[in-house]
Amino acid sequence: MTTPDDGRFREIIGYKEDVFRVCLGFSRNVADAEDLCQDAFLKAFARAGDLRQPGSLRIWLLRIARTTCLDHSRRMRRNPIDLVDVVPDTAADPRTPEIVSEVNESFRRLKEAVQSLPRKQREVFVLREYGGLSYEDLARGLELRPGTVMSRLNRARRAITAAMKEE
Amino acid sequence: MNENDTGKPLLNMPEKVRLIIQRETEDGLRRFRAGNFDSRLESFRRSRPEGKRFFFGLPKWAWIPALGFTIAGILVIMDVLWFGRTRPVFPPAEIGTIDAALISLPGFRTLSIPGPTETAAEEDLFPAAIIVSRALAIAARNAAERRETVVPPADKLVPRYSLEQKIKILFGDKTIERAFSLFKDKFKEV
Repeated sequence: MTTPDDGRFREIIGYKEDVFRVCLGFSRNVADAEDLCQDAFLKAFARAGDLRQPGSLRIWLLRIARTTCLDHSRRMRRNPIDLVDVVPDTAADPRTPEIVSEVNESFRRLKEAVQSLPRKQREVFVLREYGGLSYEDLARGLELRPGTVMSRLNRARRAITAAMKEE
Repeated sequence: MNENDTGKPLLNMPEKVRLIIQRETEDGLRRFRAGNFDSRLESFRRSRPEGKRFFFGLPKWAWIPALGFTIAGILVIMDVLWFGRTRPVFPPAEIGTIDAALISLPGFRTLSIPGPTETAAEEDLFPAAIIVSRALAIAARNAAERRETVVPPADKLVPRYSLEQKIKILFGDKTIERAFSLFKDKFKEV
């Protein structure tokens, strides 16, 4: 028998890939992202009563994911990034080992660059580039002015690009 | 992907970085989809039923009343702790010492040593305090008197008399006449 809770669960879980992408942007690897995604959903279920506007469920979920990831990264700040954890599964990659190695190195550098961003820039960058939120949704979700969102995003992109060029 | 919401090209975001993010996301999603996330989450959710949430787990709407009750509680506690407290009381020996020291000060010496208490308010006071209170009362009275006796401008103070009135005053008063007669030898005008 289907209960109202089950209906809400299915509605919330429908955004699992959006939440996972944001968690992936904040975390170091897929395994961490899955754990964070799970934590974010458990929090969302616990706070489902706080959601006042059902129309903004996606933004609300991504905001919970952001908070969960930032809390986690604060706890893990002192742990260095493990290269083995960062590189994705490329066993089935049809390209040559040299190309795969280069791609893996790019992943590592991008992760380091994102992790080194200031918190305010990082959250805007990840929610935009990984979560796919529009400027308007970012402004609404983070309770910022659109101009602030754009300037933070611009600074984050410049910093990422500079970090990728340096190495 | 290389445009923002307004259709303008993105700044400072090379295609290479975009491709890396895209590839990372696709790879991560492939593994995520293979992991049967839904059933795992469902089993977690059922094993952790929502119980009562205290303190930081309070829902948002409950924060304002909770804060109000906390402040009210603090005020009640402070009221209970301070209720009925009187001002600190010095031992009589120390009061006598302080009183003697005050009276011996040069400023106090110029004032008279108080006699019997004049008002009911002075009954509980010590000699030095009586002197101070009387000095303050005198100062306040003087200030009030000064305010009351403001001198009006000169043209309003001196009444204007006609020539006839002036002659009557001058020659009607014998004292003035006698004063003029003293000067009659010295000044022709007189």
